[in-house]
Amino acid sequence: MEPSLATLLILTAGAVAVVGLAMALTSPAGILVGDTQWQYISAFHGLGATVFLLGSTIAVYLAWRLYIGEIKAFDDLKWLAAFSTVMSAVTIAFGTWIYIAYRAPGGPRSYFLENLPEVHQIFFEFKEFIALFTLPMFFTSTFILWRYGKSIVHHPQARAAASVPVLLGWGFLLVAYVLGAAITKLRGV
Amino acid sequence: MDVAHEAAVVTEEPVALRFPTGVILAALLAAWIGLMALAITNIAAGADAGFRSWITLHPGIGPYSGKQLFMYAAWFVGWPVLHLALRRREMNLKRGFGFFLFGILVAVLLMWPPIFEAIADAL
Repeated sequence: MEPSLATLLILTAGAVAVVGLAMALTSPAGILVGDTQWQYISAFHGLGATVFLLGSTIAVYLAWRLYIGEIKAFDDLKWLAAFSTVMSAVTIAFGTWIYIAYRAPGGPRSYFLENLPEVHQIFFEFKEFIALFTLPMFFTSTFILWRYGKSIVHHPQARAAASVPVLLGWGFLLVAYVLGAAITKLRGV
Repeated sequence: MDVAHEAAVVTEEPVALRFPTGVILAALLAAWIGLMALAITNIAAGADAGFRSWITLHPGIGPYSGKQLFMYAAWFVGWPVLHLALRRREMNLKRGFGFFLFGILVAVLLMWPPIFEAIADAL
């Protein structure tokens, strides 16, 4: 079964609303956002990554349907790929911005280099680069899907070229997301 | 639900695309070139302090700013060049896509810190 775009939007909006309501009712907003500009930017970076993950996860499912030649909701895939591309760019922009706080004297990088050097030297460095891989992957898929339209549905190689980068981009996002969450848990900005 | 969409009839024999396959290959290769530019810039920054300083475009962000710029520049300069070169050509998409996948694997490995640091130290 492939949900229509309207169903996806309603489900996504509903999920965000439920999570938002739970957070509003249970979380002290001051602790959630913090009291410096960096904590606001960090919150936007994390929220952007979460929305990116939600949208791209649905895109991965539709990309798989395209790959096996059973796509019906082709237009949904086009829009979700485009949405994921935009969210990738937004998340990278906020991630680059928050990197200033990460590198600042007394920031998380100093802490990790002093106490857990491998966290910065391996996991954070890999995270900061692999996160950049998401944008070319989703951008390329989006380009192919919009440029060629449904004509790729009947062409196995073109289907693979449009769908596999979505899967790769999602995998890169997952790695960056998990490492980012773990690093933030260890030492936030 | 899926009843809202017209079911696509799929055949496994390739049929004519709206544009030649060279356009697809140009997009894939440009993305790979951008990622390889990122990997190479990162290794060069690790190997040469002068280069690392040169690509520090923003003091707060550090050399990461220049590495990103190199990636985007290589991607968005390479794409139109490849597009113009390949847009009217029918390419072997199976082979080209295989090359793209292998290239992405290489780019990922070059971004793994123990690997890029070992290469930078050896240079």
